[in-house]
Amino acid sequence: MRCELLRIDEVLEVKNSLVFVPDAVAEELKISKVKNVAGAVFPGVIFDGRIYEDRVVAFEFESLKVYRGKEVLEEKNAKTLLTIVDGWSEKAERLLEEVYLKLGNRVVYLGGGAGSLEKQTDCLFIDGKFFSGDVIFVAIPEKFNVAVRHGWKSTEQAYVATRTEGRRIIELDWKPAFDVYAAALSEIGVEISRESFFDVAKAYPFGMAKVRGEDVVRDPLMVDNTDIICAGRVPRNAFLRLMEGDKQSLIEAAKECVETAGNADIVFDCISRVLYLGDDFAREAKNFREASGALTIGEVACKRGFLEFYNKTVVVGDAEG
Amino acid sequence: MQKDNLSITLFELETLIKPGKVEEVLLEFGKELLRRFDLECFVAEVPMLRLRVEIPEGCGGCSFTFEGSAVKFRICGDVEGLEKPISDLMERLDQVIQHSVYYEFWVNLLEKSPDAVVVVDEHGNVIKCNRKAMEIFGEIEKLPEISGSVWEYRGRFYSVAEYSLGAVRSVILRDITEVKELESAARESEERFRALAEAVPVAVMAYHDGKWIFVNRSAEELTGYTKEEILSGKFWELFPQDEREKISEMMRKRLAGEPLEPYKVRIRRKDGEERVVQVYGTRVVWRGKIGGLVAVVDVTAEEREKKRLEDLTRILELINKILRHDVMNALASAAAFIDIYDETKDEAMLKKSKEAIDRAVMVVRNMREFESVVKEEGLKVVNVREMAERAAKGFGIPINIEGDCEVLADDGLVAVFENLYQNAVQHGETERVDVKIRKAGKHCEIRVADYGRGIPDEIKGRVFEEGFKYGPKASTGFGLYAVKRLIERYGGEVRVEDNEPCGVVFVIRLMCV
Repeated sequence: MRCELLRIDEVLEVKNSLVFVPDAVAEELKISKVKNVAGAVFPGVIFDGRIYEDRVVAFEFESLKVYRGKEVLEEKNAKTLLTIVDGWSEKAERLLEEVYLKLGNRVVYLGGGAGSLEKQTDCLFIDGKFFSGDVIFVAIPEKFNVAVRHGWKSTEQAYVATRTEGRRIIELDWKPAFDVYAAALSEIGVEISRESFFDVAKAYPFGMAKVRGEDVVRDPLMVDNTDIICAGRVPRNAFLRLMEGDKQSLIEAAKECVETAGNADIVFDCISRVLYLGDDFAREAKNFREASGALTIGEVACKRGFLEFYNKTVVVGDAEG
Repeated sequence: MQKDNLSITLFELETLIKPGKVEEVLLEFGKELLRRFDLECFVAEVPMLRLRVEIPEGCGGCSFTFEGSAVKFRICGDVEGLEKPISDLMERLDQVIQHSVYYEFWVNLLEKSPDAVVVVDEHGNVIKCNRKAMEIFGEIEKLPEISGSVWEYRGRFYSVAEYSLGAVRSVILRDITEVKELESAARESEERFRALAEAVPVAVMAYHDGKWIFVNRSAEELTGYTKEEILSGKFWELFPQDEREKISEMMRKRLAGEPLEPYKVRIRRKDGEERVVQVYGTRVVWRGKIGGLVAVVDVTAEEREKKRLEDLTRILELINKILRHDVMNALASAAAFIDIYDETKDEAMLKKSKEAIDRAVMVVRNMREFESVVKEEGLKVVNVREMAERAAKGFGIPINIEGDCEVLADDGLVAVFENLYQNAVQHGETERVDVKIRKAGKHCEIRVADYGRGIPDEIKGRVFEEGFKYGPKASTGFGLYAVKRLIERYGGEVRVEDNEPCGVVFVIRLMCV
């Protein structure tokens, strides 16, 4: 697997490649009707620890084995599946889980959520055909070490998600979700409105408790009337802790993540971390100096245990051997 | 591991343990268990449903197992220190699954029941209907008013059962339309049978399990009992004791389906009279029970006529025999004595010849008595004394007659007395006969006593036999036989006893008028 940073016009010349395309140049790629490659559109791409919004990252394989959705169940030889999900699609999240229930931990899963922060778009493509609401898998014969960290910290405030529908939190503690969330932020001196929701909420996600490992973060992306819509499913009666960011702890978490994996050949880092860290993201990105990847809307990683769709998290992979 | 994280996770997992589709409940629980405890795989088997939930598929050897009454669990991964809380969760899940399985079973049973089941609230508003109820009522908000144990709705009949739990009431309706139609057809069929049975001039009766269950009007006439008396009375009372074993065997054969020809049996009427009946029958299913259906024909008259004809035949044969043998013998003797007289002119031969002819005349006279035995005319009221007196003429000895009585008989009673007087004179050589006639209860007792030689004990029992002869003066041997047959024709009886101090007494008992 060889990685290159290309201009959009250079993509037409590559073959057997998986390409990560920044949202800003995605339309050009669609117009060019690129063939012989598969890939996805992300808010940004990472190459050698730097973010690009006008260049394409291309992973070239000797033979590209790419599957759409459940077609991957036919794959018998892969040790790792690069897993690219439509990050905005709850259906794609369910599809990912269905695949995991069949394949289990026979393979390592590593990837993230594609999509645009600006608009709804067909964010996945195979051989020139763009689509959404799905998952693409690229079979890799090597096994990857993977690591997952987020670095977000719990506050003292916690709520029961008494009514949910998929990614939508309708009630917290038997009250309208937005009202409870706004009141909680108000207690720590933060004001939030429907208009400022995305900008404020990116610093105050929810955490779902785990007995072992870091809490799973759920990123509140938008508000619909009084419902809060997250970047991942929230089970009914989930106990949600209000979390807050600390730039240093997030950057430390990224560092730990790379160390845990051993190195970082490939990285998927949540776009909301970039938005939250701002200029400080450069400090986090230094940890990925030798890595390439994408800024994502949700992250996927699983080497053992249950396949999780993460939010606001860093996932890195290091090819074994 | 943070203790509050464990508590929170256990709480969250606990909320997933709830009744529902078993596979979905196990799948959701298993996924969250793996996710929250960072475990590798989860297997739940529900043997009674032949269900296996495996997350993910291809789970290897597992380190932790829990076997409940409905579910067997296996988990792979590090559960060190978590065995107890996970076991508690699984124990509770097992109980809920068990409940769900049975709940689903009963719900499906009710849903697919051929009976309509409707659950309503206290105001009759429908809460739940099963499929059959939907077929009957369609989408309804309120159950129609239902009354009685059988309810008619849109041309169909339903049996109604109800079960209440607090303010909730379940109404269960079973479509019995076809049963009702069959009942109606059976009722019509039974009515046609009854009409036919009542119209025929023979007794028709049905029985089951030692009871009469149907009798027609002719059966009433035959037995003298009313229908109600027969149906409510005891089965065996219609039969004399000595016929019951036979009846029992015939019934056994009939109910067992064995071939059974028509048979004759005696029955006892309410007034005590016995009748002879011919029974024709078959095995039937009567109101769901196997029983016997019989046509009973009164053949008493035919039986009597048959017996009379048999008697007549026998008597005609007897007369023929007597005429051919006794009379011929006597006449041959007379002829022989005359031949001897012609040769010897011995007067004694003429006397012997006359005696032989007299004997032949006596034999012929006795034949007249047999006429009475086989007479077809009915009996009449006769005065016994007059009969005894008419017979007493010409015997040359005193015949004393005392008492009086009237009985049902005919002129043959004169022959009875003549025979007894003749017997006393000829065989007993008595010098007088005493006849005593008296009432004894409902009977008339006639005692004809002589004072002659008497009858030896060893032959007393045979003197009434046909053709029995004894002693040198024996005649045809039919005199006392005729007496017995005549008395029996009158419905009476006759016996012989020793007289005191000597001779015999013939005792006759007849029914008084």
